[in-house]
Amino acid sequence: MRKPLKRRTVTAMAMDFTLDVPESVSDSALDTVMPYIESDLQWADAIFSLYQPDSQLSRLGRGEASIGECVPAVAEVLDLCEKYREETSGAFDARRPDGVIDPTGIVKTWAMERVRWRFQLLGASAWLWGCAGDVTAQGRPDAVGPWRVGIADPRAGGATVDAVELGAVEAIATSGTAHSGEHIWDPRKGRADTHFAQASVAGSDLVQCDAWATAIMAGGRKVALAAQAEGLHVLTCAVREGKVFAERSPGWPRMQNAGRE
Amino acid sequence: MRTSRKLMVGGASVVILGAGFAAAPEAAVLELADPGADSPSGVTPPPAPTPTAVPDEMPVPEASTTPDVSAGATDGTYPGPVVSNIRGDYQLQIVVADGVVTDVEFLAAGTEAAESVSINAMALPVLREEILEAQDWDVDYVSGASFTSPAMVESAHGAFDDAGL
Repeated sequence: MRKPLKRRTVTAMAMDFTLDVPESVSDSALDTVMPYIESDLQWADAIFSLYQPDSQLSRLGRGEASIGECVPAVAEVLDLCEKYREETSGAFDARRPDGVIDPTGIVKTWAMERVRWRFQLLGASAWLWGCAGDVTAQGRPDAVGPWRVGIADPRAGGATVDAVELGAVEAIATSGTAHSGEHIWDPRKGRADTHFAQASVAGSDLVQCDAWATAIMAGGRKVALAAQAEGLHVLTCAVREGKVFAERSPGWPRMQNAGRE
Repeated sequence: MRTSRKLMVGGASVVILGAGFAAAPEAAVLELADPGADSPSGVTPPPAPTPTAVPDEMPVPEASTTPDVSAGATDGTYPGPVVSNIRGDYQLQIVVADGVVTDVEFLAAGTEAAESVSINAMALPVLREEILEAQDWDVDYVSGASFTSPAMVESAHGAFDDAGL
């Protein structure tokens, strides 16, 4: 049995971010560090939100500010968008048709990675840091085993269809569509697997996993194959006739007893 | 592709030309095609490692989903040759049933653990098909798509703000 863990949740960007640490981590350390993490995330939201008309990114989009007038983080994130646009051969693209750059797709994971250094201040030997489909971890929570992450059932309902161990990989990102029933079958092409209900990518960098998971959702199977050339592992799920048809790369870090419990 | 023969894996998923691994410099070829899949964004994967010649003696059974070309395939399990490079040994085997390749197994892939292949960036560009069932695992976290795009979240955020909530 896993030893008990402590979980703290902070809210930013209208999403919950959860941190799991071993129970041995002191409450006072958590109480001290978590507010800084929350405020870091909220700062990122204030800079990058395209909803808030006075955010630096909104002003940039309207041409009211230059990149040089924005905080350096803006250039950093836009550089990352370009990096992953190139790496994914265009499948990840933050440029909207109207010309506005919308880096929202990776701002969240960029912000998650950005606060990573603060976890050292907890004195924790292990931590797991997640928000929705994106999760990254360090260390082992106890002697029982490494951090274990389930992959949600794309049919929703809260179940899991697969489970992986973190260790050899440190990050997992899952991207999905709002309607998994969409694009179930394309009779003209006679195939359905270019449209995934969900794509999970495992690797060492959460932002990279996030960008590739998004790219796979946009670009389909070719992109899932290409991800492997970057050393990433992929699990895609399509839903047809109520069943989950998955495809995984050979290196997918499946939990050792997954599928047998 | 002069000496290559095609294998259709899992119905329509992977086409292997020859046998072996693309990432192994002196190994044979593993290439992937994506029949019929037009990527909406016109994406092409990064260039595959340069294919090297496929040794003629390589025992590659032929199979396809198209009945008229699968006639030569005999059901069974076909281990490929062991191909070695500096990172270790590589070997796959395929399982043929009813003239169709139903599985590709990696017997050796450069590390001791056959499934921990691409940690060393020797990623094999291949995907294996399977049907997954919902199960309960003892996990610390569930990675699931939130089913809302960040833009939707922001939009909702704004709606709540406007509503004074």
